[in-house]
Formats: sequence, structure tokens, C-alpha cells
Amino acid sequence: MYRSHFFSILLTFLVLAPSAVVRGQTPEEDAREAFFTPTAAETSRAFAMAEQAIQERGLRATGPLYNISAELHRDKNAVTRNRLVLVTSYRYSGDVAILSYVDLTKGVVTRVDAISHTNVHLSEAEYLLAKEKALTTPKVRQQIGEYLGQIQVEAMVSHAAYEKDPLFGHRVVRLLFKVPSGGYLAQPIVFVDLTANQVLIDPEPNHSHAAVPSAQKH
Amino acid sequence: MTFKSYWFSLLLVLVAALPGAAQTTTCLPATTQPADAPPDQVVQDFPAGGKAETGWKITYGRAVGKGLYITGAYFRRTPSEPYTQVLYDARLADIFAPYDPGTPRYYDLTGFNFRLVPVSSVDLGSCGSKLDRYVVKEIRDREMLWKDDKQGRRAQEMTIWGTLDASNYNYIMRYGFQDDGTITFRLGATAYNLPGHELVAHTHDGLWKIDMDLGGAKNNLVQVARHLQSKDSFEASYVISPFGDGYEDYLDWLPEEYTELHVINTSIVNANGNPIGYDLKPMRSGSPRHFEAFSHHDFWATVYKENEIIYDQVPTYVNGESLSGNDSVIWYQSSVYHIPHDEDGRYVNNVWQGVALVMWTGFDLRPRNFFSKTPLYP
Ligand SMILES: [Cu+2]
Repeated sequence: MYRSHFFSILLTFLVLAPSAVVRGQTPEEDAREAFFTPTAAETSRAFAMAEQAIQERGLRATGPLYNISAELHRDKNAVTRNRLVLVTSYRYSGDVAILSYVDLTKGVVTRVDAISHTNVHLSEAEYLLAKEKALTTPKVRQQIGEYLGQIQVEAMVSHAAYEKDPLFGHRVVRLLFKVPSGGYLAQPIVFVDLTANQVLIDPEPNHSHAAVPSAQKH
Repeated sequence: MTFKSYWFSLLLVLVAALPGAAQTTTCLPATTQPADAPPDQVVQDFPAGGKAETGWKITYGRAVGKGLYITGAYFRRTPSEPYTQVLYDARLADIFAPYDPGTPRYYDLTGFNFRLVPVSSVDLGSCGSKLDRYVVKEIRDREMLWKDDKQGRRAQEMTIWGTLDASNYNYIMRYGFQDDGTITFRLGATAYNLPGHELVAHTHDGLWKIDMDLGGAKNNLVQVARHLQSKDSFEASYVISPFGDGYEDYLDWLPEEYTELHVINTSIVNANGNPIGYDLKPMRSGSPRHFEAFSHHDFWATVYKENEIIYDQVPTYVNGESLSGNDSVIWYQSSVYHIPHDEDGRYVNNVWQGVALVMWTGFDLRPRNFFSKTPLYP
């Protein structure tokens, strides 16, 4: 963790990039889309309000914090139908999801919940970091081989559920390499531990059916 | 084309046009939507294109990392009566895919900012239409609703569905609204096996959050129905009791008991004086039991809270609150176990080529005493 400290500080200065907002092609489509998704302006405002609320409630801590998503939210018990947005943020320190309930109509954040060790989307900014980290690792480049330059890199958060797992509480990203024909490379199996700033490459698994490992680990 | 083959082709066309001569897909017409309808609303009367007997009004939502979900469902038994609310909200709260060796363990809704795939022509088939850029609507024949010797009636449904692109996997999220008041919830797992783990068995667990507001949020009661039977007796019976004795709790699905949940509104009765209800009927081939606590039970019922929305946190939501008189939420896991096979694909050099065919899991909500007699029957 000590080694990752510098990396964490670096991350804090990065722009908090949200997931790209889905936009329509015309004003009519944008108006229609607003039934499903906060507008770009609403998303920016909700993020700003959430960030302030997190700070005010003493939940900011040090290290990186990413705004992950803003989605429309409903509260059944609300008396009026205000424009409600749920902002999800991810804080590296403590592996914490922060959920901010933003009432855009009233201009207030009604609630902030901090939840440790749950599942949170990867943000676009983290994806780009993980991709950059992996594609500059010589062993990864070597294994991608002839496909380097043609592959599309996809990402999934890999979640360690077991407290004794060395990756427990870390932000770990599995990267998948899609080739132009549509299939995926079976190798390399690449994980990027964004918390520890490390690239991990899994050994090649046994490519045969029914080989049930006798010793299963958590 | 020769003269002879021209006449042959013409003959084929004429034969195909004869009733019953060829199996063709019949597309059923959609109900005309009200001019002032909001973009997230769909109405559909049944029979489609005929004189309306029953009807649905639904609203849906979609979000990055959430896929497609239902934000309201209202049903009417006759065109002359107002719609009765059935659902406030129903969705996949997450999709969990743990692999047999213990790792990896992916949460496919919360893994990345996964999006719905834009609808393509192959999605639409011959009868589908676009509700919007990401969502397909189909009105279709679903074979027989009932049969009585020579009498019978074809059944119909409206499905709305979309496909979540969860990296190598695709998940089809499909909701069916049927002419008899049934709602079907389906999760279909398809596309590429996990790169590097193509031959490793795993489950795809649909983690559903179902907020029923039957006839409104008040006076809903969640019950458990169990079939009691024994190899030592000719007799069997059933028992219906309040879920968790009326408190937040969990429950396991037991195949010998045909475990199902009933949700009734204790203050709204049908013409026979029975409380209106809906049954949650599981559709499953097994029960996942993983390291994660949320998977240790198949059903959970909790009191509605605005901020209780994360499936892996459900065990922490169960804290002794009374369900009776409160607005309840049901959490339910349905699962498929995927043992890889050659039909999933093959290695060509270092690239996996081929896709897993769709594997379905889910459940149905079926009316119980919602009607006062057999629906859609003479
Ligand atoms: Cu699978």
C-alpha cells in the first residue's frame, strides 16, 4: 500500500470523469432521453452537489475519489415528484462506495450512504488508466503479439469477496482483448490492481473440459 | 427464369397463400398509443387487434450499468374498469457470475459501465418494433392459453426486452406482459465464454428486486405457500403463512415443497370476496449457494426503503422490521449453471471462436383471485 501512495496522490489530480452520458441526435430525442437519463447539465450539477456533500459529511478522506454514475432515482414516499438523481462515487481509501441522493428540484442532497466492499462500476477514467498500465507492460505486449494495435480492450471489475484474499479491498480490473474478427484472446489473462498500481498476469489455465480442480480456493 | 419455372413459382405462391398450407409467422398488431403518452409508457390491449378484453399499461426505465427495468405495471381485467397497479418497480439488481475454482467472481451489472446494445434488425425479427434505440417490443402469439377438447384459445403477450453488453457476455433482459395478467421475467445469458476461462464452469445468478404494489403500496401482505407431502403417507396438503411470520426474513426454495410466494392486498377483494393476489412462481434448475451471504437463501423480504437497492447488501437490510402494514420488497435469486461444452465455441490459435447459446432463468408473477372467474373464457 505504501508504494501506491504516490500513485493515489496522482490520481486525485485527475479529472473526475463520469461515465459518458447517452445523448440523442436531435432536441426531440434529447427531450425523450431525459425521461431515462439525467441530462449532461443535470449530471454535472449532481456530481458537484455530491462532491460537496461528501466533503461536508467528512467522507472524503485522502486518495482518489471517482464519480462513477448519475442515474434517475425515485422515492416512493416522496410527496412531490421532484427530479431525483442518485450519484455513485467510489473512494479508494477503504474501498468505499458512496451513494448520494440528490434532489435537483430542491437543490439539496438528502442523503449520503457510505458502503464498504460492495460492487461499484469502473469509471471511464479508471478504465483508461488500467488499459494504459497494461499495454505498457512488456509481457502483456509480448503475449498480445500480432494483435497489438488491432485489439479492443474491455474491462470488468474483479471483486475479491474473501477477507484473506490479498486483493480484498483493492480496485482490481480484469482486461479482455477483443480481436477484429469478434473473438477474444484466450491469453494473456491480465488483471490491473489500481489500488496497488500493479499488473498481474495469470498463468495459462488448462484448456480441457471437466478438469475440476481438487483443491479449490476461496 | 424459364417459362416452366415461372409457372412453378407462381403455383408455390398460390399454395402458400392457402389457409394452413404453410407455417408463417403472424405478427400481431400493437395497440395505438395515446397521443399524450410519455415516452417511457406502453399500453397494450388483448386480444391484439381485436375487441379489447384485458389490457396492460406499463412504464420502463433503462440506465448505464442497470440495463432494462420496469418502473410501473398496471393491469385491467375489462376495458371498462380502471387499471389496477401490480408493480411499482422490478429489475435485476445485479447479475453474479462466480467461477467454480473460486475466482474470478464477477458482478455483471456493476462490473463496468455496461450499456444496452442498440437494437439491430436481427433483434426485431419479422414482428418486433423499436420502443426506443435500445428496447424492442413484440406482440406475439404464445400458443395455447387453454384447451378443452375441440375448444381453445390462443394466448398472447407483449414482451419488451433489451440486451446488456457485459463485455464478453451479453444478457438479454426480457419482460413479458400476458393477456391473462401474468408477467414473465427472464434473464438470458449468451455470447462469449470468459476469455482464458472458456472451459471453466460457473453460474449466472439473476438477482432480482421486485417491488410489488398490488392495488397500491398499502395493505400488501407477502405470504409463503408450501406443499406438504411425505413418502410415508398417501395424504398431502398445503399451508400458506405470512413470510417470516410477518417480519423481514429470508426463505429457501425447496423443490419438495414447491415453494412460492403469494402477495395479496388484504383490503381489495374480487367479486367472490377473495383478496386479490399474485403468485411469484420460480423457474429454476437449481439453487446457487456461494461464499457470499446474499446467495445463502433464495428469497428475502424487506420493508421498502429508498436507499435499500444493492443486492449484496440484502442480508444487512433484514433487521427485524415488521412487514405487516408496511410496504414490502421481495428479493429473489434465479440461476443457471453453465458447464461449458463444445457448442459454446472452440479455440482457433489463441482466439475463442463461437458463442454460448442463450440460457434462460427467471420467474413468473401470476394472478391469484385477481379475476373472479376464468379469464378469457366464454
Ligand atoms: Cu456462462
